[in-house]
Amino acid sequence: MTKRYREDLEDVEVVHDEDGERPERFAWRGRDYTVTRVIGHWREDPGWWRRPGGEPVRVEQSDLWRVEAANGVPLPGVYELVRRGDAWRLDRVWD
Amino acid sequence: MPSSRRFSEQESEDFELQRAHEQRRATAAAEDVVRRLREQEGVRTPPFAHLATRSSYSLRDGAIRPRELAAAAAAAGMSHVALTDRDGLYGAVRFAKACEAEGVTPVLGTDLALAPDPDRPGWATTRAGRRRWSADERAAAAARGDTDDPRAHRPRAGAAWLEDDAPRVTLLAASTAGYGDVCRTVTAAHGGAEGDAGLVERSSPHLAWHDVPLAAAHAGAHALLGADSPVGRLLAEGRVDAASDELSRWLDVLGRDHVLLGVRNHMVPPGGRGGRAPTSGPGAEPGDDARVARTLALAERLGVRAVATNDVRHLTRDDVAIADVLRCVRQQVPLGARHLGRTNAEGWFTTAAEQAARFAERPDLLVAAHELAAACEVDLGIGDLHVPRLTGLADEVAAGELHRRCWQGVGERYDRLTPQVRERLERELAMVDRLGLHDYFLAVADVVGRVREMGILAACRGSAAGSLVCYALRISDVDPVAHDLAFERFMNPYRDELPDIDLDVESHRRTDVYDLVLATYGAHRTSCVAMVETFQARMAVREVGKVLGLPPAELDAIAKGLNWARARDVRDHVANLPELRGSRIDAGQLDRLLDLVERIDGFPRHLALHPCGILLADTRLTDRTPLERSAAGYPMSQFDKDDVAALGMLKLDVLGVRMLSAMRHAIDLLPHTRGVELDVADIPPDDPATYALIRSARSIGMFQIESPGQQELLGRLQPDHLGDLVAEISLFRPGPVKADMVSPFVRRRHGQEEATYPHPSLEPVLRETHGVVVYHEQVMGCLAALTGCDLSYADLLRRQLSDPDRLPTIRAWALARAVERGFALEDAEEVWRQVASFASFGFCKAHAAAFAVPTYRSAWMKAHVFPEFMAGLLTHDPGMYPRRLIADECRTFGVAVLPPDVNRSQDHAGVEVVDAGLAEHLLGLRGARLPPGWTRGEDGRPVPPSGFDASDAGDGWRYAVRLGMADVRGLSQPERERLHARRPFTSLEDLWLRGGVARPSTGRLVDAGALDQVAGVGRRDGPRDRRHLRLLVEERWRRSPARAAGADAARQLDLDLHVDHEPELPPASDAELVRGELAASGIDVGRHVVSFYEPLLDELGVVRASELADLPVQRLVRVAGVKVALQSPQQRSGNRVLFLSLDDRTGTTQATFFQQTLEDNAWTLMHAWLFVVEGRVSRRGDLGATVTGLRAWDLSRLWRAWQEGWLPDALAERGTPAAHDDRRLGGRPVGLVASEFGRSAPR
Repeated sequence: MTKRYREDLEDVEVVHDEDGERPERFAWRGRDYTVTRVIGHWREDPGWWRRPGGEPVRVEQSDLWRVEAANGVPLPGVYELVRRGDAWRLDRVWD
Repeated sequence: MPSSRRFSEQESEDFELQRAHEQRRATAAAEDVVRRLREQEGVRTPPFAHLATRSSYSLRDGAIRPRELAAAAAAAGMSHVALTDRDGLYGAVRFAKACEAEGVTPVLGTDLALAPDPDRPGWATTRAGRRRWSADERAAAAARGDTDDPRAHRPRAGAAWLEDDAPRVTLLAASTAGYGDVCRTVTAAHGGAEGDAGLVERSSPHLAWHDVPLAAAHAGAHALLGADSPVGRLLAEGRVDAASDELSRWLDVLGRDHVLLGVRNHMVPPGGRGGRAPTSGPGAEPGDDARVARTLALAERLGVRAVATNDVRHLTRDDVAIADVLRCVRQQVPLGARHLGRTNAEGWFTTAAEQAARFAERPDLLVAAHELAAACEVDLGIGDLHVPRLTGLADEVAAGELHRRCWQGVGERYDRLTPQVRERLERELAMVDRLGLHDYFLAVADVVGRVREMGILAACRGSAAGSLVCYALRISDVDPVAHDLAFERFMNPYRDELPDIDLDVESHRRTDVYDLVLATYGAHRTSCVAMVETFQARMAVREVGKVLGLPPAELDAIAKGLNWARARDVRDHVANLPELRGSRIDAGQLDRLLDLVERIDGFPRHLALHPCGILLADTRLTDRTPLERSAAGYPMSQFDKDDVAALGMLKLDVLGVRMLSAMRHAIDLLPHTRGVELDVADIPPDDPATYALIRSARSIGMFQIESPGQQELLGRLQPDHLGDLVAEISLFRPGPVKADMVSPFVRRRHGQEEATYPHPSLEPVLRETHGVVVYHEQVMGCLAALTGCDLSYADLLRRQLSDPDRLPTIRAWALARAVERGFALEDAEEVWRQVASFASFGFCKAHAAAFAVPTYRSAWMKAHVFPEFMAGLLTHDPGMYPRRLIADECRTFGVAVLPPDVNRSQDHAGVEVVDAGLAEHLLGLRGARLPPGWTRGEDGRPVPPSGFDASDAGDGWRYAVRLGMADVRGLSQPERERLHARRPFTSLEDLWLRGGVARPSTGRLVDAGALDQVAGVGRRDGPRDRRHLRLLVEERWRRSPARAAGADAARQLDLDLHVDHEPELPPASDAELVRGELAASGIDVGRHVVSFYEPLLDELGVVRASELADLPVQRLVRVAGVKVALQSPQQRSGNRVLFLSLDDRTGTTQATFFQQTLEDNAWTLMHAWLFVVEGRVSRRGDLGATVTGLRAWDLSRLWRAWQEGWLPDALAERGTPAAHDDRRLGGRPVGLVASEFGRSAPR
């Protein structure tokens, strides 16, 4: 079952290695989560023309990670993290 | 390589500027890639090449310029890069040249839509394109006269798809033979070379499955099936078995080596944007990770090669905005996610490292792409010359035939074969042999012969006129021996292009010539050349603004202010636009609009038919260029003239020339008016009357010498033979005028100054022009005399003189050679100085001589068959002057102009013989005073202002020009045809019953004067004047004749029309009459429009044009007249100069306004139609006094001021809108409107 949250996340740790970049650890509602597996990494584009006129045309895409993460309880959950610019957000949770 | 002849100085400057811009953009593209590479430093990457890329030549889709793509690939370290534009190979040649410049190898291909097939899995569309009619439907519609083709409808508002979402396939040429196959496949997708144009939707070509084998003909083309292919779509839907079957069918046709699966990873999330779409089943949007996995699994299963691609459409991520805008412009829809065919902006030009990151587990996919690209080897044949075999004769047979016909031809052309002619022909034929051009000449001679057989006037223009072979074959009518023309300018073994024959034909028969050539050689051997129309500022603002959803009225206001501006300069232009004040577009929106407009600067917008080029090739045509259909249904190459020249293909330029049409019109009238058949070839040379007319500078209507500047030069030069006309045409160019070569030439021509030569050895070359270097041929001759090289080599040198990099080398070489040959160094340097400084100004003498022939012929016609020639000019409007001036020219030559007449006029202007009394009445000669400009001759007869009376038809009869029915504005073609078929009409009643003309059109007929006779205007029982007639028509035409049942009713109504019922109308004034004529036909037939202002002109002390010549220089005068032309040529100094030509019915006056006087006068000059100008008389020759303008007033405003008693105030006004605003003029927009170049609309 999916729940939508759209809540801001703080303290997201990101790793870079030869497979690209991915979030490794994040804190949500006071708990620390560790990413155990990246299920998918996608990219979305909100549409540059929606930005108010006067700002230069810039394409700002958001990165989507669907990850398996655990916070100490035995069963890991699936979490969807979205990054736009430097801001992170938790979008959806499967449990 | 475009030949230098085609470029004026201005154009070559533009060309250079354009090239510099392209270079800069390419550098920027490369720098961007290099910057990204620096970030990726240290990452080991496999080799990679992009195989699927769309450039701006995808015509409103891709956002990369070919040169940028090549530069980016080179910077990214790719050895190869492909260009696969949608629906064609439009950018292939440019791209190949750019790649050569950047040092990468191009791979050429295309991305074609497949014809939708609802029954075949993967071939269906989810949305249809614009509905189009089948051929049957169209035929049925045509039969019932319905032209309402749904294809003509463009969406006006809201979302409307113009494009279906047909599956696509990318074809890549692996070999030169494969390139031919790709060309033919593209042609097939566009409906085929010989196909029925009606069956294909021009703007959305589709490749049918049965045409796919074309791509396999030489096993030299690859089919790349990507995400948008039928296979990719089936995989997305999860129908793996169907995908496998589909792929097998491609394998069966093309073979395992030539089918590739393209794998793209744009990191699209499952369900597309926002996860709304289903992730399996029809319309499925699985994530890219799933797509990649499924594709690779299928490739594995069927043993098909998979390659990594990125479907590149833009250079950087931010550039996706341009691609989006273009895509919406293409479909005429507002910007919105669902119109863009993309989920994110990952279709940019990725480097190998970036691409490797997307295929981290499968670097071999990148290697496969690179290896495939590296195995492609196509030679377009750029830089080679390809002489086609047109006649189908064997080489020796064609050569023999050409030699025979040339010798026979010179035998007919010359009374006596002088050694000079013999030697010249031998030399030329040797050159033809050497270049192998026999077929070409035979074919062109054949075309020209057939064109003349069809009764179409044709003339050869350009350097080809310098060739004796062309003269002998009757391609050209200029005798190159008599005029001492060099053929090396035309045929040159050192040059890397084929000689280019340009043919002038009657403009309204041009398409007949196309049809003839196509019918003669077949559409598989000939085709028209395309012309790439690019986004200029005006169109870009309109289109981009519409896509952004800005208010149309505001966009229109901005766009109208952008005349011919480049899109990249849009900001400068918009900054000065008064239209923007009070606009509803805010600064932010405007900024975004202009940003996008600048970024699509010069992007191809659509492909049009080049107005003159026809490719002459042989059966290899379809190997070398893809063909499509032009809007008018002509087969058209997807390449433009530069591409075609680069490919070394042969082109015949057929230019429509209105003057030839006008001459033909006159020739066609002659049997009826004078019982004479005239063949232009029989026009006697050196006719004194013709030259007398030319010397009078009354040259309006004469080909090439009618402009105000030319008239002035004619006055100074006083030509008396064809050589003078050649010089006149050559001298009247911006270069010579600016360098003031004209004055010494004129002085020496009249013996007022001694001719001097830079060196005695140049005298033979420069004697004809009295020591002034005028012609290209003389530059060549001087170089040859200086260095001893032959003329061909001299021509090569001449072409390089404009290149500042080459100049010092050539100079050093030439001087060394000269000194070796015995020149003193100072002499050689002096010769060099003159040659080099005049090289860029010179004009091709052969070209000028080719022009001089129709110039002389038109002058002859004006001198001898004036009324017929004028009727031709009125009909075909060939020159720079408005038609009402031509009508006026008739009167200054004593020929009356008759209004159109429903019972007498043909469609176009004609000539009638009228009673002398009527003619004199029309010309205003019956009054006590002669009209201005007219004088009495010694015998007491009135002499027209020009001094030439061209109207005498003998026995008290005079010629008069009758305007045509087509001159009546707003009268439709069917109405004209009905009138013509049903005439004569005996009365207004009759016209109403049988004429079938609608009320508004009838009103215009009245205003034009076309009903004067039939209604009996001015007769005792007829209406009093046109105003009265108009009222009768309004009353009568209120009822439809069909419904007015029975003759009784008609008779009853008839009574109503007549005198006893005459309404209380004030009589119409002459002014009203002329205003009506100007509105209805644009020609003031009754009276000259200026004549109404005579009392004021006398009050102001205005001098008439015919009197101006007698006034002393520097005298302060006032002149007046109606605007004939307003020109504002670009000046090198950047200063603006306006040339105003005024017609006051005694002739035309030229007034020149220099920069310092413009501030007070420009606004008036731009806006008014009738003028009074104050200035000083200036004269530069025996004839041709002009006025250097100081002040300009709007005559109609002065008139009102005079009537209302504030004339002194009006005279004191500055000619700016502000001054006029104070005085209750009102109603006129404050902003400047575009100046009316040449043709002024009556107000």
